[in-house]
Amino acid sequence: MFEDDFYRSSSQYRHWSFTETSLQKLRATTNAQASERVRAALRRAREARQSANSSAAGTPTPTQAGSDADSKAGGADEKEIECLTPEEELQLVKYYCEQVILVGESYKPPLPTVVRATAIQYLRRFYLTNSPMTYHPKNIMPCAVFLATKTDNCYISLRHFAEGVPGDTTAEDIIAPEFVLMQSLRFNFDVRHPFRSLEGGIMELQSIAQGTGQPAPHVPHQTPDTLRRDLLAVPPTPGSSSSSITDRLGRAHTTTRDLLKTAAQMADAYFLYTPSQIWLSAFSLADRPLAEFYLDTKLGPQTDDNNNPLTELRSKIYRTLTNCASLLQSYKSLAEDPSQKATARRISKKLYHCQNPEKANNITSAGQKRIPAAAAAAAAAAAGAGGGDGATSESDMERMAKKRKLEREQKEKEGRDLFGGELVAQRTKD
Amino acid sequence: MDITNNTPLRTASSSSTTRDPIPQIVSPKFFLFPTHSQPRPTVVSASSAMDKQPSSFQQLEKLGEGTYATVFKGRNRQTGELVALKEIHLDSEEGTPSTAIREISLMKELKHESIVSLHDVIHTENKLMLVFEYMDKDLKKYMDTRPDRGQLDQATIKSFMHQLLKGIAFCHENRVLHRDLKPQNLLINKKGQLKLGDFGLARAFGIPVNTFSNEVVTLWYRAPDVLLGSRTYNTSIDIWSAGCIMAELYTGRPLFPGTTNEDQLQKIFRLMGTPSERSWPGISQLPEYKPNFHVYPTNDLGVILPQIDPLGLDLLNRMLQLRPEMRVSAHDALQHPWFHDLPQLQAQLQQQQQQQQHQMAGSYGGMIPPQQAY
Repeated sequence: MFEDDFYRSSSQYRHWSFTETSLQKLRATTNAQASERVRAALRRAREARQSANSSAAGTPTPTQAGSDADSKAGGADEKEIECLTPEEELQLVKYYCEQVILVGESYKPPLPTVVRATAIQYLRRFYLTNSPMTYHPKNIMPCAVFLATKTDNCYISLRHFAEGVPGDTTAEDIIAPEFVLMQSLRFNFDVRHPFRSLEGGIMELQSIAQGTGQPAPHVPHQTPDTLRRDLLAVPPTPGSSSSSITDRLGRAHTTTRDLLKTAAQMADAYFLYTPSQIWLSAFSLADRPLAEFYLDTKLGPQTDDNNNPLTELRSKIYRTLTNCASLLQSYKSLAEDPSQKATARRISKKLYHCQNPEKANNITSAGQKRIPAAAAAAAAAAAGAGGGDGATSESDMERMAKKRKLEREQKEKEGRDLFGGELVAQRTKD
Repeated sequence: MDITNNTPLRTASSSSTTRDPIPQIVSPKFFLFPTHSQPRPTVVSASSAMDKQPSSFQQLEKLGEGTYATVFKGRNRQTGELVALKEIHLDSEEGTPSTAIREISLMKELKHESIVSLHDVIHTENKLMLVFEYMDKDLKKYMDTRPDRGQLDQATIKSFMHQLLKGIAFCHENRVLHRDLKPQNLLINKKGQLKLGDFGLARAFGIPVNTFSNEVVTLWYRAPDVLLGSRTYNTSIDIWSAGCIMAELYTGRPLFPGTTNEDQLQKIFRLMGTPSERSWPGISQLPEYKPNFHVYPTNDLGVILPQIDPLGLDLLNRMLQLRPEMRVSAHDALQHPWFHDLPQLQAQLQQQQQQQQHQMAGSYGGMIPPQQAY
């Protein structure tokens, strides 16, 4: 078996790899279905309220006073609610993926890179088939990080974990969506990261630098000595001063690792490329001549021989790496591009109006945690089936409205909240 | 020591439904880069597992109880297929136990004939159920039911060891350490298959070597480097366990039944000789190393295993090296000349089994065959 075979047998390859087109299509479908459900849920709530109002005319319900959610929803009776677009959903999810990195920092010692990376991939996988309109990322994100600590052998008790999560998120809130998350991940918890390949590649280059490199079996004229000589002759990256090969490898290592920790996590790299492709692309961004040298040690020196199968393979690989590298380069961190934060804030505000009330309520209400999908689906079906069920959804709406109001007040008091509290709080000022 | 955690299974007719349909890369040799020229499978709707309810399975007798799970025999109501249902106790405080998460995580990746197969994960209100292929019993119980205090015949030992090492090699190729190999975690079925089960303690490893907890592996099968407090152990710890199991297959008794960490080390040294800085450079740096270990000479393993043949003894000695770097790898062990006559032995075994089945055929009406394997 070769590395490729191992990777092809992984759940990541079998279930979580896509073409750009299929990825886009999947997100569009998810968005369309969620939007439809949100509209239906709001319609049901509206009808329920109307029938309740007409049957109990003159009896003010306790929520009518002070519930602006209610009155707003009432005002929107005529026009259809505006739902998030797939692009907006993606931007919002990305924002919460960035938050994973910050949450990881808040522990002492900080959560390992791999745990954070796994959590980010959980979030990204989760939102391929779920919409933020159904499950708000601020609720799913801490759960994804907690689940990743379990998968990656870095388990900390929930109570301790909850202390590290900023804001007023309780332990209960954190595990409430655990089942929904696990199910959406199809119980595929193992994530293949590019970090290990990077360490392996750097170790290989280091041993070449020391003259103990292993020649590739299909490149007959290589010896440890020629490998070393060729490595030392690799031209420097444009603009850099020449330095010792050890320093150069160290620098390339660090830069690549940083790219893998950030750009590779936030863009669609894992869905579109293999771990080897991702680390080599990042490596080529860090030190292109070095990356080309590394590929040459595997593929043999470049030739013009078109009959050589390696020639075709090489151009295929370069094409793939170039595409992946430009994907990585397209990434902008929150610090580099502060406008993302404003965008996230805008989307959050919009989401406030198009959050599916039925789902949102299910997942957060106490005593109902970890609702199995079957039960949730049955509940949804029941709610959808009969108009006579209106009373339930109305009381759901009431509870929702109260809860939102309470949350808003809390957030205002706190002023700053990592998980979007700030975004929501902003809303009350306009 | 007891019945903890048998992770049983079902047999045959299994699920290769999720296999990757696209072996598409042109070059055989190359280690990277599957291409993306064709659409990959994109089915991400709820899988069939999700639609299955616990009621799809009839729960039969309890097979074992572990720290975080209870295992029942079960039957698929639709197909009649036997399964092992591992019911995970959900902790209301912590959610799904991390051991369960890790076991599911690894079992979803490790698909091999010598590793018990995870068919489904089913979730209900308050429990999580793992559906494994059904296996008839674990190796411990199997040996206990044998006459002669559990000693097995040469052909069976060889066949079991070969399958054990194949399973270990596959784990190691996939960079997974089992870390808890013992007869209770090896599962046997009536076809004479042996499979690795219970990956609750298993973990992935990588480069550079991580430091691990040394609280792994049941004492009796624990490698000396782990007992000495090493935290940088690797694949060789599983090989030590396999060596202990091989000796036990011959004698029917555990090779090193220690009661405490020190006693375990002493039992090992008494037989294998006390290591020194000369035989094991760096040993004196290990946390649990004591300069005043009683010095035992090295004994010949053949003395306590009179039944073993010279080739088998040679392989066993390679597995039971005190110094971890000297232990044979699973891959190399499988190439050992001791296994060369395995095909002939297996043919004989098969013949015997067929004869037995033939004899039993008259009384064999129900789903549950008599417990005597083979």
